[in-house]
Amino acid sequence: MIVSCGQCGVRLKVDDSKIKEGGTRLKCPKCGNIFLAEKPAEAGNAEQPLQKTPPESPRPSPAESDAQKPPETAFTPPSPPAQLKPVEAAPQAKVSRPAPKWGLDRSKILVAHDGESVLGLVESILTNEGYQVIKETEGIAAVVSIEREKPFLCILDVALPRIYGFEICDRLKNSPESSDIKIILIASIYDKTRYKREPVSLYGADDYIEKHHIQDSLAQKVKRLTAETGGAPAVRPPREQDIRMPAPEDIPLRQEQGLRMRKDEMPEPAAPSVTISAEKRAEPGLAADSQQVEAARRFARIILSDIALYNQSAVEEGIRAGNFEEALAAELKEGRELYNGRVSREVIESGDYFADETTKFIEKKRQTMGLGI
Amino acid sequence: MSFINYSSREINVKLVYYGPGLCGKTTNLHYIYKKTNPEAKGKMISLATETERTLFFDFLPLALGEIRGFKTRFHLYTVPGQVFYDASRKLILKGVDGVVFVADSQVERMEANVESMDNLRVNLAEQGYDMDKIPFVVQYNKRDLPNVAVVSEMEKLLNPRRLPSYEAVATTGVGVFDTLKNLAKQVLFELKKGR
Repeated sequence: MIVSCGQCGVRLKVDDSKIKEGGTRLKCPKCGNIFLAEKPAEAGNAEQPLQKTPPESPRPSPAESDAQKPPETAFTPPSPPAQLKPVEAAPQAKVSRPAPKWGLDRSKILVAHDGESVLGLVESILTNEGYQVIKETEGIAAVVSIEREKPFLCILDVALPRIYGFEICDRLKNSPESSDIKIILIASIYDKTRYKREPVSLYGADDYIEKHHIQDSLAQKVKRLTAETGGAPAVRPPREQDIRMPAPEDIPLRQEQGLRMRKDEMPEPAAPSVTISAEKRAEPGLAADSQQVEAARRFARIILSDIALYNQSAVEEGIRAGNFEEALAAELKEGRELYNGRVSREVIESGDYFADETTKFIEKKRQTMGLGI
Repeated sequence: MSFINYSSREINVKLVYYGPGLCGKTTNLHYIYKKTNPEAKGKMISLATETERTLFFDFLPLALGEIRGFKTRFHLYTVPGQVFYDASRKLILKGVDGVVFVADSQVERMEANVESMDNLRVNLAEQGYDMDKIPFVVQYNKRDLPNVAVVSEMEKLLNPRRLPSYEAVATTGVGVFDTLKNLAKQVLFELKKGR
């Protein structure tokens, strides 16, 4: 019998005898989608339709979809959605990687840069690779889009207007909900000639790319990160019409590990895009709040940085002795007063970001001094 | 706002070196002082502690030849860069004719650079100056250190209008006089325009 994947539309040949009563779950070798294949109601060569079609997934173009459609006479009506088990329930997904709290969409990549030409270049590269690209030109809009769209990868300019890319990166990576998002910083930080050095800190980002390397290296980096997530690459409308399934006798056994008949094309199951529609959208006031909080945090960091610059030995002694806050009490008090005088009352009441940044500063300093956390 | 003394036929110009803490403002002035003809300079006043914290300002009068019979005397000031000393910075900016913004090129000081630039804009505006109109030069200092940001990145963050800017290593003097000359040129141009 022939079944077709509801996500990417590819048609697959399967030995009827390997399909159990009530259906057998199969993994699409093209896009990684797991779906239930059932025997057609009537004996014969009727094709098995797909049950699940995530709404956010890119679809084949109408022409391609039409080309892949089985003849109407042979088409069996889709099974009811109730027969489907959620993809995240697949044992394979749990074994390979803990499910992120955010249901990340592996077809989506967000790129944030204030240069239209850079945005256009990145978009054209990634669209060709089959990804859906979300473009933003400044930090707050990027944060809102990330929370709404849950892309599995963000490509952020370091010097993004309003909220810097590295700040967004820091925030995403330090939040348990979003820490699984892969991040590439677009950074011309390291001069290609005079000051070429390996980056000391990427603020937790998974990779960085210099602007002049976008054309030649971006696709490769994205592929690598996609593979690292163990997830499916972007869903490109399938061109191959004739992908063979594995030896039919292997199908039931391989359900646990994914079908391996074409290993190179065998991604792990995609995160269920159905969860995305259920995610709450960003609050309207979030952007402004984020900006204010980020500014407060930034100011706290600057104060701490200045205190450290002018009191280097006292800071190091305090860190080493574990009494940083006592040893620098006067400076921190002065800093706190300055912070309270500059930051709005609403932000101060929403959280003690000065204390938070002080803790981070101590942790960071301990690390750089080789003292561990 | 330059001060012109017609009786002594002198134009006094005030230039301020602004920037975050320990970015090299004082080092710029020390280098200029060291390399300037003793007859052309006054005494340098520096109120600094042993930790190099500039508590108030450095002041360096510098004579740079004559313009239409008027001697030009440049008074170079620095400000305390730490975020704590905003009142001092405001005071020193009074009557300024031109500003050098000294940025620390180290990546970890980028936030401090941006904060200092914002602070400069606010403080100038409080005194009725428009930062976009005042003679202005940006200097990317400490280019010899590891972990520096590339200039294009710094330009984007600190100098989106692409005003004159120079890379510098103030400890060795690289870029120090280029910066000063450019600012002096802009100030003198403004003076001529105002006549």
